Amino acid sequence: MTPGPSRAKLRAPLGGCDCYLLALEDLMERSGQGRHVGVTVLEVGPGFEVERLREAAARFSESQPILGAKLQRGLPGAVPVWRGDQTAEVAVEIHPVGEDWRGLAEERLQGQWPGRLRFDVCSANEGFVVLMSWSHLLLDARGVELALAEVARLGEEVPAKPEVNSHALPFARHRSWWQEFRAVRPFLERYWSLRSGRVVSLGGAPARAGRAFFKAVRFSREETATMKRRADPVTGGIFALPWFLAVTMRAHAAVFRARGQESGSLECTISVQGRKRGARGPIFQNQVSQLFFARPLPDPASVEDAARALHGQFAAMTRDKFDGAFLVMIDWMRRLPAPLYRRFLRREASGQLASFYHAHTGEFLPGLREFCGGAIVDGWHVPSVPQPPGTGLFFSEREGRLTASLCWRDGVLSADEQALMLSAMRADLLGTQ
Amino acid sequence: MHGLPANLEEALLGLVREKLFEGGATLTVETDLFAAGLDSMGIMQLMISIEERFGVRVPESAVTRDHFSTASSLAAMVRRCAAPA
Repeated sequence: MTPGPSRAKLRAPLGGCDCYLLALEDLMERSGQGRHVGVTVLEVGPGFEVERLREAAARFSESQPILGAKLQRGLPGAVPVWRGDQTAEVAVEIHPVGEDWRGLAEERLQGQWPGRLRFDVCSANEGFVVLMSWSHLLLDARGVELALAEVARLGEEVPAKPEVNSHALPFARHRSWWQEFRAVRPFLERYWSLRSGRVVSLGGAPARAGRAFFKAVRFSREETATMKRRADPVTGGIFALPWFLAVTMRAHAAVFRARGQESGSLECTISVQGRKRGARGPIFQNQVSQLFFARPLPDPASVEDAARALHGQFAAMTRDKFDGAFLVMIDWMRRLPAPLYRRFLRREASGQLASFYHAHTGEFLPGLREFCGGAIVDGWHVPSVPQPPGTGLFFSEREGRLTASLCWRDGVLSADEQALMLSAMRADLLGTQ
Repeated sequence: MHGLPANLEEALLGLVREKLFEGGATLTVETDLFAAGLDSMGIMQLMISIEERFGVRVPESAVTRDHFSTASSLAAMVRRCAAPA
């Protein structure tokens, strides 16, 4: 990160989810897992121009001071803040023809690169693969897509002034402690009921070093259409969340069974967006809340039954305004000193943090056809999952094609277990054995 | 059909704008809400907001893509839910 010209000083306090992720990144770094980062893979057609990306990335960093800001933790009891008055350089690196972009993406997933955002460009088939590597402390998946859309816009035009907020929406405060306690109560009730069972993950506690790996499975348009027809009777064509969570939960349960282990309590937290739909910002900081799902018991016989049971949990949490309650809780926790926050995470969910990670981020870059002169062919996200739990299954869609990313840490899944998990996923999605 | 506003379509559009969409001024009662970005969480929040604001119970069988596609189709669904059995 090269310091640039001086500018008005930024001061952006971390939000509740940012502070959670900061504590998680602390844990990961202390156990040799590196930073908590993600890589977004963007396939573009032959008209793509690297110089346009370079110029757009420079304009983007100039307009978004948070990219050059430093994290200040302050005194115990103070909320950490992003502070700075420098412009950061967003690296754009071109790689030789023939370099394997998958290997490069895996390398970037280890987080050993300077700065908080960078681009790598590789040639692939008749077009290009652009890898955008990002720090989860600054961006969530929707933020990544908003950032890509903004870079694409800056590749087309030079705006008079930045038009997108760079940091978090103000947190909605309640008037008194009593009102805050009442607001947080739905979270506490569900949290304690879930924590009464022993949560398990494939990675198991404690945290330990290991490289991050991924495998992307890309489904054809025909396969994706088949999946939708199969899911429609349960999802009504609109509730993707419980269906894909059920698929992920059952894929993990299949590996537990193959190990001869009782999968017991499986738990998963799902991020839900705080940004309104159609919003162009804010791009940065984690603008999300969480819902806490538990594996339905007794074990549902089919993916349909599992999805129906999870749909019931989804409806109950929305009715109880669980997402808002979680935000109040996590806002309180922003003031926890780093060692206390880490201690809380070490004990979270029987020391597993969760049983696995999962997200379906919806349509990838909806409405955006071109990126720096090249037609967008496809795109998806690959996050680095921490261990524990050590595994995650993530989905997104682009113009009727689903992509699944299986992510894991070294030593958590054998080659046979990776194959088993993906085959269980395919069987549930497509209805095949 | 007690307690429903006379212009239910506009009232529902107001709810959609308030709860879910940024720049909702461009939405009309015939805008395709799914094309505008309505997702699982948005539908669930909208369903519960409808129940709370208009005092009608939306049964699971009524939560379909057709019913949630526009403010106009939502209004028709809410009127059916509010009608005495």
